[in-house]
Amino acid sequence: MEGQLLIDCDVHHRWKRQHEMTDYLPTAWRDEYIRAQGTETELSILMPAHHNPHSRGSQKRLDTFPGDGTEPGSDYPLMREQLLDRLGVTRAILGFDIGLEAKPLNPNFALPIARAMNDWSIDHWLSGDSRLLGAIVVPTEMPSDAAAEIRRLAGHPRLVHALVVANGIGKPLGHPLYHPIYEAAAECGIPIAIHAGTDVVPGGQMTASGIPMSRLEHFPLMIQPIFHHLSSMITHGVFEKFPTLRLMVIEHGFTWVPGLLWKLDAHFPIMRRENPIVRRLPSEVFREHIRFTTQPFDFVRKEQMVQLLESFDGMEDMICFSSDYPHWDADEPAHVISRLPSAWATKLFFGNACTFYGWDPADLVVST
Amino acid sequence: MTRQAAIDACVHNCAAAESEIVEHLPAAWRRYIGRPGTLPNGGGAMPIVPLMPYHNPLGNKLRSATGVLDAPPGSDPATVLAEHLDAHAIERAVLCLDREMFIPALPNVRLSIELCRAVNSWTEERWLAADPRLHGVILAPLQVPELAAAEILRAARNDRMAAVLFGVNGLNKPVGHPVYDPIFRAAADSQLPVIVHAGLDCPVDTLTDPVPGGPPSTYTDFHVLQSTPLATSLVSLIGQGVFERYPDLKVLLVGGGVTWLAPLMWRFDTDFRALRRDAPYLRMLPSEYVRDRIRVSTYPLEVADASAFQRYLTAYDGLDGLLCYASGYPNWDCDTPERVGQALPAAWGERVMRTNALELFRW
Repeated sequence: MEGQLLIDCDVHHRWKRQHEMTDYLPTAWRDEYIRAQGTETELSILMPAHHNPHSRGSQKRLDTFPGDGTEPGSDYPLMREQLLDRLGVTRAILGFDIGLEAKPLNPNFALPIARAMNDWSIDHWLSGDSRLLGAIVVPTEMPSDAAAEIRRLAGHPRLVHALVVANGIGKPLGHPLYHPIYEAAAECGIPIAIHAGTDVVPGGQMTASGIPMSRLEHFPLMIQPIFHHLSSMITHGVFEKFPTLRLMVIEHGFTWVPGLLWKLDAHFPIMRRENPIVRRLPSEVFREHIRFTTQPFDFVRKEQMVQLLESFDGMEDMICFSSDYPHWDADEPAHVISRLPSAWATKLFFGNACTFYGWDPADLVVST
Repeated sequence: MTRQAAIDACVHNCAAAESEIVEHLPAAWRRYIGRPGTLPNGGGAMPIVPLMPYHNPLGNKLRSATGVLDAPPGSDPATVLAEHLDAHAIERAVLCLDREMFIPALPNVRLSIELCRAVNSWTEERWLAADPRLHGVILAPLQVPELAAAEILRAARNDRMAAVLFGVNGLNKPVGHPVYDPIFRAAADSQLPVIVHAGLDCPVDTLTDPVPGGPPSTYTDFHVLQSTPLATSLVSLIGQGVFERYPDLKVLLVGGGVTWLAPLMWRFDTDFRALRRDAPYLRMLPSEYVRDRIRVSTYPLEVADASAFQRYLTAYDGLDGLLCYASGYPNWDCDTPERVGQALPAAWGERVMRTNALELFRW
């Protein structure tokens, strides 16, 4: 892939120690709430998710551990070596690991912690290597606070989308409660991104009909919420209310898109009666406003994957490469393109992402 | 295309009035339930069939072609036979009930136990006696799995009972959870498949979520997501080794259409490569368990453009062996055999419309 531009839409970065990030909190929250017991025993910000851990406990590639006791994704030199330089990445969009801290127990703390995460990310990761871009993580549970955070940071040249990742309200993301978030993003001209895992947090509904009972069951089912989040964004007319809004769906794969859209399109007469704001066919809305990252990419024969995707017009315009470095199931570009039509490579690796984020490929120069 | 006889794996029959079912309860329970018309405004009888929270603004049921206006659609055997089986050359139909399938999750568990027996008795007397083409499903008190097993073994003695119905999630666990084992054991011992029907989490009395990501705001959201409980059930049954424990068990997943299966199984097989240590008792790929033990109803079929649809379906190896025609009659989204036959690849017709069901139901 010599000379080929490569946009990686999903990379996970992390602090080496939590206090690196909590240093950015206002003093009162930091010293009287998080650090009342001291720096090394900071109050745990991360709410427990559904308890389906990996066998042996790690869900990161073993080769991505820095070897100094810190976590995968926390070491820029290692990320540069293993991902940015090795794959020839032009731009990588960093999305925390995976940002569920933005849904703390205390809703009054949600905005302070999201701000601290964003400020940490800007200072520690987005001030150097120009290949690195970032996300504005938002406290989804507090939509007006989320809107405020978007407005605060949307002008930053390295922040490319507002990241929705933890759904503590337990409503589908198209619900009017969340519309202040979309209004702010549309107003500021930046897209929303939804990363998988939205509903693993307390208050979320991850799966229909019961909680998965192992990691093996959890993984094929964990994308279920996005079917509803997308359906609800259609039925609540989110893209009619906010016509300039765009959405990147991250780490959900995409093979399910045709089936969902056939179902949604078939319901057009019903959904219009349920909400008169609905104006366009769902498939039309998706094609114009929504994109999907490719990871995790299934191990199937190329001809099967191509046949399934080509049964639905326009999939080649809707998918954007992502690695998901440093997770255990991260994808490599060669693996992905080996199972797609080679004619899709340009769009897959940078064309669709450039169009989506409003970049001119000629402006993207790999820094040496 | 000559019309071949079809087997319909799911018709939603129902009681015209709840008193039809109450009549099959023991006397003391009939007195407890009461009788309509004995209190003001026609009241006096305890309602026994849970309500459905989600309604299609265009109507939940077909308007009957025979114009039987007073009887609820699906409540009159003669209409079902004439309007559906006769009209479409259906050689056998499995009657899967309607909201009656929610009875096993009634909070009043003693009542739900009695009502399951009463429904099975009503099925035999009102429906199975009406025509040899009609087959029933066993309604079992799923909240109390050992009692459910006993009722399954009892009711299975009537060989016109074709399947065990798992139509409601009475214990708030995924369907493959070991708490439900007695039900699958009894079904397997009786050589009956288990039908898991979408909507099993709908009644307010269940604590499992009918759809992911929060309560649905519209009927559209609810209905579009009907494959999700079936996907969870499939993953749960395989992941928990239910098919290893019960080698004779087969399961039919009804009510989610067909397009969800390929993306799910491609992902499940892929994840299995790395995560198989979570389930060391599994001897095959998840898709191989599906091939051997799980079938999926065509109802409700998602087809718009038949040519695109067929390309999509044939991308998955062996899907023609996995599908069983089901009408879903008389729901608004039901499919005639003709519609399904035209939507599928022609070579699939015999298997999907008939022989997969013959094998599944052991006819």
